[in-house]
Amino acid sequence: MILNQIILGCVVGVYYSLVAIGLVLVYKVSGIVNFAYGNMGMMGAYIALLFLGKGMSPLASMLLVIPVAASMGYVVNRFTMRPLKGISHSSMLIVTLGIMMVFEGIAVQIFGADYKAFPELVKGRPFVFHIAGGLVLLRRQDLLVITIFAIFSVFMALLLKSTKIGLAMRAVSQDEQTAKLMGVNSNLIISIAWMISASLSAVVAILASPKTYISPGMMIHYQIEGFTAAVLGGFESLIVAALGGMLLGILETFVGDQLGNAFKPTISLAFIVAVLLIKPEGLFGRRKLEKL
Amino acid sequence: MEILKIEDLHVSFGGVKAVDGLNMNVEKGTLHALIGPNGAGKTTVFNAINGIVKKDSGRVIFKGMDITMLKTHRIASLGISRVFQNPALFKYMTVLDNILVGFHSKYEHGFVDEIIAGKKYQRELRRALSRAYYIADILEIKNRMGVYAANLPYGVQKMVELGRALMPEPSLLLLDEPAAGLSDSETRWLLEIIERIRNEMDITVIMIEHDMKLVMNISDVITVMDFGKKIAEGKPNEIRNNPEVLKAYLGGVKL
Repeated sequence: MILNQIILGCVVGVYYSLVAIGLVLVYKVSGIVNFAYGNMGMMGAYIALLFLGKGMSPLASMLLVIPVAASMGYVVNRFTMRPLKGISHSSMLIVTLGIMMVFEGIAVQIFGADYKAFPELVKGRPFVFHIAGGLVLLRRQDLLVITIFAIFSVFMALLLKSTKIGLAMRAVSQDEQTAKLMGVNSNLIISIAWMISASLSAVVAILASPKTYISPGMMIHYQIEGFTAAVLGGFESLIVAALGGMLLGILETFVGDQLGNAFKPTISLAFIVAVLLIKPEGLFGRRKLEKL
Repeated sequence: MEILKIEDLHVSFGGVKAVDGLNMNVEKGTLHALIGPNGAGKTTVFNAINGIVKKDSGRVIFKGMDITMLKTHRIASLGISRVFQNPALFKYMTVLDNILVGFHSKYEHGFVDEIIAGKKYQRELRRALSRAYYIADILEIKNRMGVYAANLPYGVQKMVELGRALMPEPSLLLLDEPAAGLSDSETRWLLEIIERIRNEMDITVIMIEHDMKLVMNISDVITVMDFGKKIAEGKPNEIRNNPEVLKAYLGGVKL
C-alpha cells in the first residue's frame, strides 16, 4: 500500500514541482519571490477559457495561451519589477503580493467569482494498475502532466547546461553586476526567466483546472504548496525544488490517507515552519559560502 | 592614437566628489598605470568607464565613440574587459564555464542554432572552447578547468578572472590591483603575463596598482590621482622624481 501512496503522491506533487520550478527560476535570476506567480497562471486559465469559447480545442487553447502568458510575465517584470530594482527583498515581496491581489481583483471584475469548468486535455478511461496488492487509478490527464513535467525538466536542463542563454542565466543568478561586465544583457535574461515562469504557471493552471475549476482563487493552494516545495530546496536549485514538490505531494497523500483531508494544508505549512527552524538552508540545501 | 579618452569626468556620491574633473588619454598598445593613495577615486574611474556608476558630467570616448551613456553590457561587448580587485567569479560554476561566460558577447549563433545544434553552433562552440583552452594554457590553469571556482586558492581565482576577461579578445583591459594578495613569485609571474597581454595579444591595459616596483617596472605611462584629481602624468622616471607626487602619495620617501 505504501507504494500506491507514493505513486499517487507523485501525481499530486508533480503540480507542486512545476509551480516550484517557476518560482525558483525567477528567484534565482532576479532575486524576487513572486507571490503573483500563481495568479498570473490563473489569468492565463481564464484567457484559455475565452479561446475555448471561440470554439477552439482545449489543447489549442492551452498552446495559444503560452505566448499570451509570456507577454504578461514580460509586462509585469518590465513595468513593476525592473523600475523597482534595488529595493529590499521584503519590499519586493510586498509588491508581488500587491500584484497578486490586483490580478485577483481584475479576474473577479471581468470574469466573475463563480467556478468555471475547463475540460481535460486528454479524455478517456483512466489507467488502472494493480500494484502491491492494491489498485492505483491514474487519469490520462495526470499522465499528461507527468509527461509535460519530464519534457519541461529536460528542456530546462538543456537550456541551462548547454546554451549561451542558459550560461548567461546562471551567471546573472550568481552575480548580476559581473555578468553585465561580461557583456550579458541582464535585463533581457531576467525578462526571459519571467516569460518562461509565467507560461509555466499558465500551463499548470490549465492542467489543474479540471480538478480545481477555474476561479479567481484557484491557484492560491498551488502557490502555497509550490512555495513550500521551493523552501524545502532552500530556493536554490531547480532539481531540488522539483524533488521538494514530489516529496510534499507524497507527504500530503499520506496525511490525507491517515489523518483525513482536512489536515493536508496544516501539515504542509507546519512542514515549512519545521524546515525553516531546523534547516534554514533547505532540506537538501548547502550552506552559503560567504567570505568576510 | 588614443584608444580611450576621458574628458572632464565628474562622479560624486552624495557630497563626496570621488572623481573631480579628470582628463586622461590612453594611447593604444600601452600599459597605462593609474596610481594614487587609497580613496583617490581610481576604482571609481574604472566604474565610470564600465558604466556602473552614474556620471555627473564629462565624457568617456572609446575608439572615437562616445560611450558615456551606454549600458554596462553594451560597453563590455564593445571590447572593454574588467578584472576586479577581489575576484568576482561565479562561485558555483566550473572554471571552464566561468571563462566561457566571458565569450558571451562574441557568439555569433542564435537560439535556433542551439536547438537544432547546426553547423554554425558547432563552429561557434569550437571557437569558444579553443579560445578558452588557448588562454588557460597561457595562464596555466588548464588542469583546473573542471573545478568549481569557489574551491580555488586566491591566486588561481585571480588568474581565472583574468582569463575570463581575456576571452572576448578585448581591445582594452582594466586591471584593478592585479597584484594585491599575491605572493612575490606570483607577482613576478603576473608581470610576465601582463607584458604578454600587451605585446602578443595587442591589448591596451589600464592598471590600478599599489605595488610600486611592479608599476615602475612595466608601465609606459603613469597617471597619479589624489582626491579625484589628476596631479601628475608621465613616464615612470618623471613620476619617480615629481615632487608633487612624492608629497601627496609617497609621503616624501624616495624610491
